[in-house]
Amino acid sequence: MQPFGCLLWAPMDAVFKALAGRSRRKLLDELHKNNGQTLTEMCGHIDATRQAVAKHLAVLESANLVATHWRGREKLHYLNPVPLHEIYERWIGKYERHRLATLSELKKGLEENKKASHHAKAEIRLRHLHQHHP
Amino acid sequence: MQKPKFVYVTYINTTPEKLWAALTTTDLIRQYWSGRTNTSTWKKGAVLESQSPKGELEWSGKILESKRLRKLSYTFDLDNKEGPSRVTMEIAAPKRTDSHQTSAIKLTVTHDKFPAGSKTLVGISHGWPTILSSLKTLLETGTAIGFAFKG
Repeated sequence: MQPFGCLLWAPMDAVFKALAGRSRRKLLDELHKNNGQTLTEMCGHIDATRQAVAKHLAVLESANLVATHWRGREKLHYLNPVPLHEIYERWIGKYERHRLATLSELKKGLEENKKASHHAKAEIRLRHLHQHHP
Repeated sequence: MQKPKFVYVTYINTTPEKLWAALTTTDLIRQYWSGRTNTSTWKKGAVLESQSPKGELEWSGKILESKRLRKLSYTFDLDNKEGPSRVTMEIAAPKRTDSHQTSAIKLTVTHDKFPAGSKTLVGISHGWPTILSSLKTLLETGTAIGFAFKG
């Protein structure tokens, strides 16, 4: 039994190195929104040359964060969350998952409320302004 | 040509024989599907049934293609009358250019042909990464990771 033996270090190093780049994270975000894109489609998302985007995708693919599928002569890129799931399972215990999901929902909910209430306050201020300065 | 909705890849330190056995042996499936059992003869045209730990039928399918050590493809039909989608599993030795250890076997799971407006999609995006990472752990360490499916 060798759960996190040296053989497994290299792939995980590649995942963290690939995720360290902001452009590469942006490319993963775009695949998360719309899975299965060609190189040309991916080029529209970041301000970089086609060669640079191809290189980023190659780094992501060799870290196994991007999987590819050939449709005829078109190479489609897919977000492959399997290595991220392995990271999750390595550090997050079985019994913490539910609580963490609740916490994350709470954060999301509160932050959306905050945005909404900021918006509401701004509207009230605006109305106030209009009432006093017609 | 429709494009697949999901393509998942995992590299496993194992042999194609052990991986094929894990994909087609009900007792092994139960371990990495967290108590669920998929039962079939795994021959082309055969019926595939997946049961919950309580023994309730959750989904069924038909084996579309079965090439030992290489490819397994079946339909995936949840009992919600929306019609079947398709699951394909392919086993390959990784390319030498991959930065992964060359002894690892590459397993690609493609899930496609979803009916329009499919509800199955939502559950899938959570399910496969969990199953695949549990399968990898089972084959590499001998023990699968237990997990609960989100309802």
